[in-house]
Amino acid sequence: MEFQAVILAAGQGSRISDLTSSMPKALLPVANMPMIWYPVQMLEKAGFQEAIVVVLEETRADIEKALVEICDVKIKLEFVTIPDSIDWGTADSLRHIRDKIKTDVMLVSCDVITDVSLHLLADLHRTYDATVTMLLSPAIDITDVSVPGGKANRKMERDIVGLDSTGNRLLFLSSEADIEEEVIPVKRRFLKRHPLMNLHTRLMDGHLYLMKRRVLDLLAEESSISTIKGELMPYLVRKQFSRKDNSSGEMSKKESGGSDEEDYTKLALKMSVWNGNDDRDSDSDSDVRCHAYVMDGGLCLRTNTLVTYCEANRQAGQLIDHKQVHSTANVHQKSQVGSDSLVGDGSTVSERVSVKHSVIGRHCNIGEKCRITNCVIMDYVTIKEGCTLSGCIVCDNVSIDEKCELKDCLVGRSQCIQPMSE
Amino acid sequence: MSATMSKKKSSKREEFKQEEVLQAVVLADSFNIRFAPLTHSRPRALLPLANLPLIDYTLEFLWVSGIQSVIVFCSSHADQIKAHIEASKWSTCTSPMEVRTVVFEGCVSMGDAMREVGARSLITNDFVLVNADVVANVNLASVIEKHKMRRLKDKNTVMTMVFKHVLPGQRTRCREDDVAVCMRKTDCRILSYQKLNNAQRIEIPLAMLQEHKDVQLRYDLIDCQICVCSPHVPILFVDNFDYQTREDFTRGILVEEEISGNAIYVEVIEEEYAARVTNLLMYDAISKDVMDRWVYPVVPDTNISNRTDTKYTLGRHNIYLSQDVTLARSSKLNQNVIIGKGTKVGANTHITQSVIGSNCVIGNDVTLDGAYVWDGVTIGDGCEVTMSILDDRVYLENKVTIKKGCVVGSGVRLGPDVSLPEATKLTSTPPEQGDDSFADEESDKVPVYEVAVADRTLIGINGHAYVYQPPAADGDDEIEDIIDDVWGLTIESDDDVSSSESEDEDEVDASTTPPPDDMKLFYDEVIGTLQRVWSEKIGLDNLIVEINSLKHAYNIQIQEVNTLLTKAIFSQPLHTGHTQKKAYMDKIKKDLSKLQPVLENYIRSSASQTDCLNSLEELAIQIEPFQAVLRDVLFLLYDSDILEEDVIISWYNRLSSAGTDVTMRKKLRTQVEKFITWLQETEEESESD
Repeated sequence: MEFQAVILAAGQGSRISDLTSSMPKALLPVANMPMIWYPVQMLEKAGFQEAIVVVLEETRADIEKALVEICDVKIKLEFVTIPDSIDWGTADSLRHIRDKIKTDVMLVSCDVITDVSLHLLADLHRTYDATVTMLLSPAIDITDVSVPGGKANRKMERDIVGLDSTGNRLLFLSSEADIEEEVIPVKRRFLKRHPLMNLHTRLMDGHLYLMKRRVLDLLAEESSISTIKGELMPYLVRKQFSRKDNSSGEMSKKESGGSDEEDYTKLALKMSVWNGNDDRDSDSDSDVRCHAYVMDGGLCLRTNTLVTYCEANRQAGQLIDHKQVHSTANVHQKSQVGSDSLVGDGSTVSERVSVKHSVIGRHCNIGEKCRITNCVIMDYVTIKEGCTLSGCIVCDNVSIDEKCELKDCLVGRSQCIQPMSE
Repeated sequence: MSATMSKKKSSKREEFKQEEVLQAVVLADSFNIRFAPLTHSRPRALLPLANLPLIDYTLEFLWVSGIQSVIVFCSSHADQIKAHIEASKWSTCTSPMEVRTVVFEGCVSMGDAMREVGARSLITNDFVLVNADVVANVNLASVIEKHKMRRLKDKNTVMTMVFKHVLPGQRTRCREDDVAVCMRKTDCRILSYQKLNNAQRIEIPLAMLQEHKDVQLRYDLIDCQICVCSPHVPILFVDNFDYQTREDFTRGILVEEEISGNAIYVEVIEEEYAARVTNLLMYDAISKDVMDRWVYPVVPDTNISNRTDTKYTLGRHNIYLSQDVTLARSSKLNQNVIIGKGTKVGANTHITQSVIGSNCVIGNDVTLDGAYVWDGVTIGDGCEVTMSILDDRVYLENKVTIKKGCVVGSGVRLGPDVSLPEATKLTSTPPEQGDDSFADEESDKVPVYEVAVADRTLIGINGHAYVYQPPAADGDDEIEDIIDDVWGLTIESDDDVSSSESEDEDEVDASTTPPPDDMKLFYDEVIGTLQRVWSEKIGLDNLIVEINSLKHAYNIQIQEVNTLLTKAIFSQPLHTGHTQKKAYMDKIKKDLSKLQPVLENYIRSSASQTDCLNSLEELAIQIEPFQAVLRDVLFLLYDSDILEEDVIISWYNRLSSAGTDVTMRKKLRTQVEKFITWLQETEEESESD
């Protein structure tokens, strides 16, 4: 087994607390499937036989039930729990399961929805014998997507990614917010080694990493690192350029090359137009290598904010092979369900309803003449006749009375909306 | 009928339109003294590289690029350049390219030249701007075409700069032109242009990344200073009279980008060759590249200047021989050698990586390695020349050794039996006569000569030479660059060593690294303020207020204020030419009589006195003439009750062995020893009283 798969599903979902207050983040429905199903399914597709899932103590039962019973996944899942009370970072979780990891790790966050072919990533990882390989994808433009709850907090958390001329060596990584004094210092030594760097601000971290086992050892030494994206990755990227004596002993590499070879190299150097110092073995001083696979097209989403959650619901449908309208759902003939919409099992859609760009969960009841556009409607929701909903997220068990008009709203669990409300 | 008339008219107009000729401006003046003393007697444009004047390479390159009309802009030695062009193939009736010379005396910078070009309205179209020291085989036609296309799309395209892809570490990449460029990946628009000089890092503003989607940071380019300019470039120079160099211009355009919208684009050449002979290092590198045939078809055997005396035949291992060359049977020419017409090479002589001019006589048992020997040079038996330039008519007697990095001016005679230390520069003209005739490329800066010349142990009994000293450093960036590039000595010796030492830890050690910018700015401001004390007669109270406000403005610690103020006051007379001991003391006494209250205001406590002393010590280490006066200065400060004896003595006794320049510091202390013993004696006396 080359890689052990680890799914990190212990996130609190602090950026979408409105939705996660009643439900663990990993189970939030995305296109009528729990979020965590996507990474699990991706691993399954790629041929993984087993995976470790890191969950919070209290959510373990629910998640296990959802995955094994409802979604019926074939892959063998081992659940590892971390205590509920402490707020652990992703790197802390990884450190926690260190003893279970024997090989390189394929690490994926539970909120990643992507159709990337993992073998491409793995190939890159193998080709360059990389310490870490990460997934990057062009960030979706979210400025014109309507979101429940107004336009507040729209600020994008952008990363600055530096790649070399091949486009897959990672030379710089920092989130915009972490940059002090509004400038990025670049050292001469670095420039010499990597004279060409492309700096991207429109690339998004896919939260999918391939890591060498020794990264975990490193993690055990550096106890101050608590998150992977925010601290571990930038640390590793920087470490690529620090000198050898800084790197730990077990990371050191055997010097290669006999004396004969040396002589010839010297001769060749003397005869060439090169007069630089002997940094021919450009990686000699640190054997940490960070690489990145940049997706070219395809789907890659992280459902960690409301915006991306909505977006994921709209786009994830294409990853699901079941039908748009579930076989047990009952959609009236005179209703229109757009081709980019989903209706879950046991739901009823009455006469002259129009559903566009929306997801309707299980066992919902949509009354006559409703118009539902750009919405996410979870399970057991009742919407009475004549309602107009656009850009809304409606949680479980909500009932919306007649002729309501909701725009860009987020309706919490088990709420009742009075008739004629706007 | 009328229809045909109008047709004719329109076709005539078209014809008229097509008459747009492609122009180029060649700056045949380098506006600096990198090549001094070689450039005393002739301009840089006429210095021979591989036995051909530099300007021939530049003109050839322009012709290849399809330029139809060239304006050669000369300032110093204009007559020589004019004469050269008149005698060249460009002035024959079959010349495919029109070459005109324009003389403007008194130009001291590239900015002046461009302003002059603007004022005389010599330019009407897009034009190519190059220096007369470019060696290239690139065809600019496509670059010019692209530039025109861009200008059609965006009126504000002012310039397209041509960069050559050169990885760090290659020989044509010298430290002086160490440049890091940020550009937009999609259209190659320049976003920032930073010269590293000695800095260990560059900074990329975050705002730039936020504004532009894909930014490319490139450190693998050299600036060939070949630019395709829009006609309003000269006008921009006229408008901004403070633009002196092309770098000023680039920086100005980039800074004002948001206001004016002017944009500069980059064109990167990968395959072809382009480089500028900007200094001795580059001279060496490019000569080798020409011999190595990187610049093909610009190689000696293609005879680009079409003169009969520059015909060469190519032999194996890149040996280029002209006509009438006499080689002794036992002489050996190794790789990469050019030998000019009529030159004789003696027995057992080994020549490697060298260019020999015409009509030279090289004796027996001579070793030449990396030597650039110009015309009419005589080299006696048993000489050894390594990586040096010998100007025209140099005469080396027997057994002269010239070590790396030497420049021997024309007509110098050396030997016999002497050895020239590394990086010595000699000239045959004595300093007294020098002042006028040397106002060449640098009309405002007259080179300062070392007074003690003609040292017989250096130049030999039959020698005739004077040591050339470059003008004293006046804090100018340009001069610092020259020091960096002592040819043959410091080829990349420092750099990584120093950088790896200071790597990772942020450079804290102020004594080994140059002071941060704020300090320099503060220092410059203090100097400016002090000067105004004399010129504008501002009151001393105001002076103190001003220094205090500067301190806050630049966030300078009081300790630094003490150090820098001392440095400013005591280095001032040196810059105004009072280098002689007596003149210096007179001047400093006069200064101090006025400035003493200011100094007293800052130098009070024993700690501040220590700062003051340390500053003087540093000054003495940095500036040699100051060493001689250090003792007198200390006495003066003691006498005027600024420094106390205890502090001086404790400073004298405190010599950290770990610090830098220990030997220097020791030497300084021996120089002031007398004063210290005197101090101690008087102290004891006063105690016994």
